[in-house]
Amino acid sequence: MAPLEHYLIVSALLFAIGVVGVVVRRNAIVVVMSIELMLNAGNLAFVSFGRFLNSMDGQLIVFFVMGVAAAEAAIGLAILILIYRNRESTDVDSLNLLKL
Amino acid sequence: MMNTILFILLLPVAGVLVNLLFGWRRGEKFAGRVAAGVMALAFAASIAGFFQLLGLPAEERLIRSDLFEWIAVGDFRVNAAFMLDPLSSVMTLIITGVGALIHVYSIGYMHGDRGAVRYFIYLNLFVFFMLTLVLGSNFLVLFVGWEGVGLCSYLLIGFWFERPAASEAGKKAFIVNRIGDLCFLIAMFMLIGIFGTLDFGEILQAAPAKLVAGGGAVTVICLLLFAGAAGKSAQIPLFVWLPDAMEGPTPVSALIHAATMVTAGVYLMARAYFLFDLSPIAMNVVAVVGAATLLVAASIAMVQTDIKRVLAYSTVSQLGYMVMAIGVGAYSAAIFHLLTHSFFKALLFMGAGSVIHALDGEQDMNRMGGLSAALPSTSATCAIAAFAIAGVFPLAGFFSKDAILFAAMTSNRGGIGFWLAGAVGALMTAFYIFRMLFKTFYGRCNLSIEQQNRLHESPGVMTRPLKVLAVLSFAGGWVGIPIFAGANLLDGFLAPVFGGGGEAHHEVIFELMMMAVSFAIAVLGIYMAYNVFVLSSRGASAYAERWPGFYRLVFNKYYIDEAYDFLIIQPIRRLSVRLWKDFDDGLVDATVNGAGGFVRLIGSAARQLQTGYVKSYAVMMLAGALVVAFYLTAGAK
Amino acid sequence: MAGLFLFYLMAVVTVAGAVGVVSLPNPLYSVLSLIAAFLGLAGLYLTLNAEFIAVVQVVIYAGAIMVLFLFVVMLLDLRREERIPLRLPVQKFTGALIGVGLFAVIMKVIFSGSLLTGAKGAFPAERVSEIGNTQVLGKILLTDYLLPFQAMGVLLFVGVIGAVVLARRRAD
Repeated sequence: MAPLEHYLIVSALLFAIGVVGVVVRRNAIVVVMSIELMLNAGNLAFVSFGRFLNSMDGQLIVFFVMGVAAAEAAIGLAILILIYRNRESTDVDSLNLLKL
Repeated sequence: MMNTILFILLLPVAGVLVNLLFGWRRGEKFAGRVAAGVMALAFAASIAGFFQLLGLPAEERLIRSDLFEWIAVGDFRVNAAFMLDPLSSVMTLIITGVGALIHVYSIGYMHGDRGAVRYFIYLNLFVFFMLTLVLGSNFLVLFVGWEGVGLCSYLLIGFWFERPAASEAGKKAFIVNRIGDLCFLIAMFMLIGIFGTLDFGEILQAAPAKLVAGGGAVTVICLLLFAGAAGKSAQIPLFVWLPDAMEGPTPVSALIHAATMVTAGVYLMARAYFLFDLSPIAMNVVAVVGAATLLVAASIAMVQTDIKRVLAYSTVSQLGYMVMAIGVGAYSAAIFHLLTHSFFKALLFMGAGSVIHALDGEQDMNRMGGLSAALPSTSATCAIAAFAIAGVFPLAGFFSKDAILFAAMTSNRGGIGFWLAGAVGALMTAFYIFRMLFKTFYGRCNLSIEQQNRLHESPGVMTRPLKVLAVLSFAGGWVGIPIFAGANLLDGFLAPVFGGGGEAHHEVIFELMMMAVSFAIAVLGIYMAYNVFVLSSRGASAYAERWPGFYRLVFNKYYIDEAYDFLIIQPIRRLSVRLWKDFDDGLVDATVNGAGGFVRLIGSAARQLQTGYVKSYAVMMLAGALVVAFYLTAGAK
Repeated sequence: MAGLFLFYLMAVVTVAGAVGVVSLPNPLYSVLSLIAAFLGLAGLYLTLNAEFIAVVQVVIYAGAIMVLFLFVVMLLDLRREERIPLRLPVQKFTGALIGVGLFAVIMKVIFSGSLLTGAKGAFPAERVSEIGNTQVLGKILLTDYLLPFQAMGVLLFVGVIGAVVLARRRAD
């Protein structure tokens, strides 16, 4: 069995890749997917710690995170469709309405 | 037992509310009926209150009604408290009685005016405040009413606010009154400082102990109170607003600027008589100012050509009589004259209103004349009022004016000078009022053919109140017949308020002589007017030509408005402009704008961070997360 | 030994999939490589004795959610992407910097040597295997975590309604 550190390194890698994706990519769908990657990195860390601490709580948290992720994906994609309908694009760089 | 005071007070409020809620939709007819109806009920309640008082023994005639504690600061307490004593009962009867008649009259007068509903709301509101003024049992409640009537007066003078003259007159009235109100306020502060209370009864009890008779404090307080009264009651030097106030609808002039509000100053001084009694100097000032006012205003009234302005100056002059009466310590005589004056002056104003109504707004007496045939009721009632104000036996004005003149002569504070002023004033009064009567209702008709064709007597809703007031003007003075002990009902009724048993009695023959003299004066004045305006072919112009300078001086009201403008208004304006340009623009605005500009500068630098792109916010958020993570793990190895 | 091998295999699959998500220009390929990464994660969960989570990962994540993504990608026909240069070119650099920075921080924590200082729980892997992973999870979920479980149901319900409301075409 691999040591805890190895799992955590994989988790950290996933998280860092997700961060890079969020910042670098411009397609909103890919950005959402990158966020999913970051969530899963957290999940992996939870399960790993739970396993090495003899606890089921890690797995339970993952269960809830998945629920949240599912809801978030549904809403997020619905918003994306709306944006696309209005703008014919899902380029997040074209979304600058936050500035007056 | 029902609380009569509350009833009297709240009925006009009910009228205001009903008209505010429903009047706009239901129209002027409804509004007028509601307004007049609540006034009739309030009058009934006032009569009930009067009889309630009569049912009590003379020395205990006081009904109090403490509603709630209004202000409590430290040891200082002011209650929203009201009281009905003989003095406020008389005032209440005048306000609601004459007020009800004027409300009825207004239904006819305001018919067809776009703002009639608004008019009735203001009018009822005015009555409420006026009642608050006379029913309040401490200075502060009185002051609430005092300011309230000032507000309503402003609103009603400027009722036709589309006319610049009307809105200017409203402002003038408000601002001039403000000077008096400020003095009144300072007087109240001094009373709080000395007595720690504003309640009439408590101050009355404590006054002899806490104030030195003739001392500085009481004199200052009385002079300040008098300044307040001078503003409301149009005394020199604050009387300039009242003639301009004639821009309002004529029933308003009758109600507010003749019968009720302008007498508030007289009422205030009568209410605070126990303070004035302690200050001979203040009393003297009051009497002298009253005498001067009555002479100046009467002389101006003799040459005015606008019918309402004649009446306005006449009102100022009659108020001068009342103030002089206060000044010589004849409080009940002042209230007596207040009572009778409210009858005949309201009648004169409403008669003038009837004339103006018939002539579609014409107010210049030179263009009237010979109207008695077309306006029989109006001219007859006005003639009665004219006899009354001139002081012809046995009409109302005779007794009240005689009471004042008698007191001016015999009171230990009076003197031959005051009597002389009153007598000369009486002569002028008889002259100017009959000048008005002759020029308006008799003699050659100066109307255009078109006006003559449209000439009509006012409708019954307007003439009936005139007739009721004519009866009162005729007989209203009989409540104060002197000479016979016990015949002076009003004096006896008011005696508990003013303490003591009224003035000392004199020889009957002396009183009769005085009465004969004042009657002779009245007749002489009437004869002079008859001589000049009816017998003489050239009218008054002969006299105007003989003393051109004096005539011009009087005709232009002694240039008082111009003097105020030159001495007070212009310097203040120049100072204001200086302050505005140099201080406000140069210093205050510069500072404020500078601060704003500085913030804007910082903002324009900071806004560079805000690109508006979602992505850049994400980058910053993550960068922040990185920094926090570094900080949190800094302790780790 | 087999477990260790499985770990490394799945770790490589996962990381490679993740890199693919971020680097492939076509969103369709991104979705597919994300599925690969999720399958790898499911494998990692298996090596951690979290069988139920592994299955859920495959069924819910790699299955349901990713199908949703695929639908959207194909629905919107998003192949023509990213021809235009980045609005803020420094982003690529800052993005990489932040990613590396966060990774470095986590590494620092991992190798600080004080990872497992918490109290040990009541469920060692052997015991869970005896009872059955799913059964243990279900018991805890419906006892200690009942309220969050219910709240999760509400959240998903709201999510469904929200998605419908948002994506619906307005009548006007």
